[in-house]
Amino acid sequence: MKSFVKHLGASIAVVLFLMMAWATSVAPTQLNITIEITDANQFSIANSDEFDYSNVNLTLNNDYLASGLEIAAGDTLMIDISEFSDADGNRFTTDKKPLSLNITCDLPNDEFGDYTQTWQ
Amino acid sequence: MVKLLAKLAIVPTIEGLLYRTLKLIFFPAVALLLGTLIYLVFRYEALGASGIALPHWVLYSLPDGLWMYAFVAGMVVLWNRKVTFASVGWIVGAYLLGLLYEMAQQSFVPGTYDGTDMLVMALMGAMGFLHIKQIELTTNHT
Repeated sequence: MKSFVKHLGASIAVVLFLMMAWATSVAPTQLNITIEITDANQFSIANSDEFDYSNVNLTLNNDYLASGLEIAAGDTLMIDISEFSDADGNRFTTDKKPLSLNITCDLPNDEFGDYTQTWQ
Repeated sequence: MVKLLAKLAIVPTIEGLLYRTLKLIFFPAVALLLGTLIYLVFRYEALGASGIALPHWVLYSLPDGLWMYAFVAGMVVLWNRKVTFASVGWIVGAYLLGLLYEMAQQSFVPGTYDGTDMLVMALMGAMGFLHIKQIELTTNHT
């Protein structure tokens, strides 16, 4: 009986481990990205990964979006800060300060990527 | 009299058993919680908000290693820290399962195979074996 309980406990441990491993492995891939803000109020977003980013969605300061972009492996996307707009259609203006930029995208093999950069 | 024997560790008390159990599961439990904390707090929710920049391997490989250690160490503890014919398959199997799962991410399992993950998991999983106190794999011939 004691041995049965141990085998049962070990089986439960294996199932929990596999569930945890599965849940974390389907999580977004952290993108290898370099983001800079140029003097011309543009974001320079460099894809330093060896794979393309498709259906790229950019979220600036949690509210302003720019979506449907592509960044090929090794390429750099230049996007003007005024191309971001919120749900009401208001453009992001240069008098606002960029605080965070979140990037999500589709990756090869049905994976998806995620990256967030913040500024003080 | 019982109290005296308990003090002399002759008769196990509830408190004594609880203390022993907590002592045994302490390190695996801490590893499990720490791995989960890094994964949830630093890697996801707080990454953008807090701006805390932990090294890449700490964010992406250390949680896997901590979980691997917790899994192997937990399995060892579950089997009273003894490697016997009944437990050896579970203990070694736990270690191999963790590594095979990571390797399988190269093909049919979702996720991204990473050499650093593999190395950290192999090393920290092996640390789980340090909890073993006795190996009894000999057969009794009568």
